[in-house]
Amino acid sequence: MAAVATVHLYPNSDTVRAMLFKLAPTSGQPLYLQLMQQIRHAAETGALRNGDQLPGIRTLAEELIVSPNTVAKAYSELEHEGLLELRQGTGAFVCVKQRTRSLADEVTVARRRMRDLIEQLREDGLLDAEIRRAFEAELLYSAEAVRKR
Amino acid sequence: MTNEAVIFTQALTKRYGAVHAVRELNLAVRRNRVTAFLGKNGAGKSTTIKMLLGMVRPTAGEGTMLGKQITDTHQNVDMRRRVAYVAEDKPLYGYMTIEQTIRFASSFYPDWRTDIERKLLSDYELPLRRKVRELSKGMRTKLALLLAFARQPELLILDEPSEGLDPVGIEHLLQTLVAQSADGVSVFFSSHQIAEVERVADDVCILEKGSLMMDTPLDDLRQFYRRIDLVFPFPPLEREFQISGVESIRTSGLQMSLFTSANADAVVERAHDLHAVSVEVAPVSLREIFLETVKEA
Amino acid sequence: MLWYKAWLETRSRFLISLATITIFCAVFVHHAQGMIRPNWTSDFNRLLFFNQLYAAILWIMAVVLLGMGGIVREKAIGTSSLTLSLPVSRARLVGVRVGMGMIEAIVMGIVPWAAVFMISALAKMPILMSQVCSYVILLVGGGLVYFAMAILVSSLVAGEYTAPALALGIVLLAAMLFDTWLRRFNLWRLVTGDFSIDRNTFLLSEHLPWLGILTSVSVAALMLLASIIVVQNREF
Repeated sequence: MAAVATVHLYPNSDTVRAMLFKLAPTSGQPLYLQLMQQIRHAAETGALRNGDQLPGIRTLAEELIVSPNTVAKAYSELEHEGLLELRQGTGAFVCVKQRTRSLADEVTVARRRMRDLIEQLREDGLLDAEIRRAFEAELLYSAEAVRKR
Repeated sequence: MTNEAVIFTQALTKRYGAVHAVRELNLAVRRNRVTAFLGKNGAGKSTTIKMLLGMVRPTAGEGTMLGKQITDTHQNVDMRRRVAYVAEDKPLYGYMTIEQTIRFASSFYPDWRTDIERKLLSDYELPLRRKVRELSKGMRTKLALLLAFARQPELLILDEPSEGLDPVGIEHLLQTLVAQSADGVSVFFSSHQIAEVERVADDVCILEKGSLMMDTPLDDLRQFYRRIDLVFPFPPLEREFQISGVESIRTSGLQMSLFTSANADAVVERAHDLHAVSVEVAPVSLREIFLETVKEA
Repeated sequence: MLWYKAWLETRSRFLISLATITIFCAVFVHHAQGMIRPNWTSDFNRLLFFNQLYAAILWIMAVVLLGMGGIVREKAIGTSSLTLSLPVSRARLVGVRVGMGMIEAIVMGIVPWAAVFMISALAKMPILMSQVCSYVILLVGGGLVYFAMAILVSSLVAGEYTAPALALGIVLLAAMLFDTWLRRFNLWRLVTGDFSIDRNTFLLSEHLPWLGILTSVSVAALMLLASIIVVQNREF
């Protein structure tokens, strides 16, 4: 069960833009981490641009229908990482530094590799559902192994 | 004191004859958080709340609400000015109209927020002139909630607030709860709608047979609770998996299903060591966590 | 706005009782116009004496019913969680209910007699204001203890019918007790003016039984205090 919400950004240009958030409360990952990842991902793929203003904690919490503490923690952690600048009273502003190779390219490469792997696993006789389950299990397992380190 | 307790109890107990409704309860509800209070019917939730509000006298133990002793009848009055409570049956005076009810309630609280009152009146579409006894269950619930929300109290205690509301109403309720929390209200609510709780709660308290089974941030539950399904080439032994964090194990033939509150990777490692054929690790919903927790009690 | 709530809760009972007693007294006394006798004065005064008798019966029943309700009854109908979560002490909750009831009881004592006074004046059979005042003082001063008893009963018993039945039962029981064992302290005779009436002129004496009234009021105060203590110690 996921909360999908379109959140309007205050653009630094004339065109009105919005961003889609999708939070899954039962996916085994803290909501604030999901929120952080989605904001980070948006910044890396260009959905969020430098100078864009994200809604205030209260507004975002109301639109996503999550605890304001979740939003506050996500914003605060992202400010720590340098991705967001929290200005008292006005809101959270995005600071994106330029990267040599955008994440969009990385994703394209990754998906090509995944396509090859999936074809191979299908040839080995695994059903799509089995492939998906094994993939999710490995994701959770390796994520925790990383955290342990 | 950023995380002082708005509700704090120490060994709070209520006995009715031989029956313990509440048993040595140590509750600490933090300020500025949304805390969910889960429990089966008869677990002692309502009795606990009544003791906190001074309606029922504890058999033993003590507690404070917003720093005021719950058994001190003088401090109680001031405390009730800062705490809003909506009981499970959404009590209202049947002989008053909606307008009279609002005027009556607002007269007791100088900090009444007319802007919130007006917004909710229009959101809920409540007919001002109609008597409360003529209202539908949904409208009664909405009015009872309005009386609490428009006070914007320091602490909001809600007992099954979504009962009587349709899904759209529940969505609106959660949104209002979140808005109140953002404005500095500490929210303490009990609900059987665990899916809804899962979206907005910061902390989860589980009460069973009068005792506190759990008091944990919801994010921790999300991060550490796992269901692990294993298949072995031979019937597995449960004692191989008596690892700390494993709450319950079920075996059936070659399959084993574990419910863990921590150390999922240790379990997976052990499974690999024992040559498990299939290892599936999946997150657990709050509903499953609740059911498993009260089952063990 | 506790007074407003108390008013809303008792308004029907009060207005119906007030109308009933007033209309009864008015009709009863108005009927006397048909009497033309040489010694009409003392007969008329005797009529007033009987008026007090009937008014007292109605008034006592009315104040007993007015004393019903309260926070213990609210628990039975399910609104006590709301009332008890208000930022007011339980003593104040009882106090406002008692205050409203007493005001209504006093009005129910004054208005019917005021009507009698006006009707008598209009029928050119004027009565002394001092007589009217005396009757009112006897009724209310002596009779408030019945209201206090009803408040105490409704603080102990929650049933919609059991509480008023018990309270009215106590009124009857008290009447019987007063008639048999406690003749000297017969509250009923005090309230109806039996202790103060001159059997020849049927005028109330100027010397009202102040000690009796004071005793009755004191007992009433004790009962009200007991009600507050009962409510304060009760679990909801």
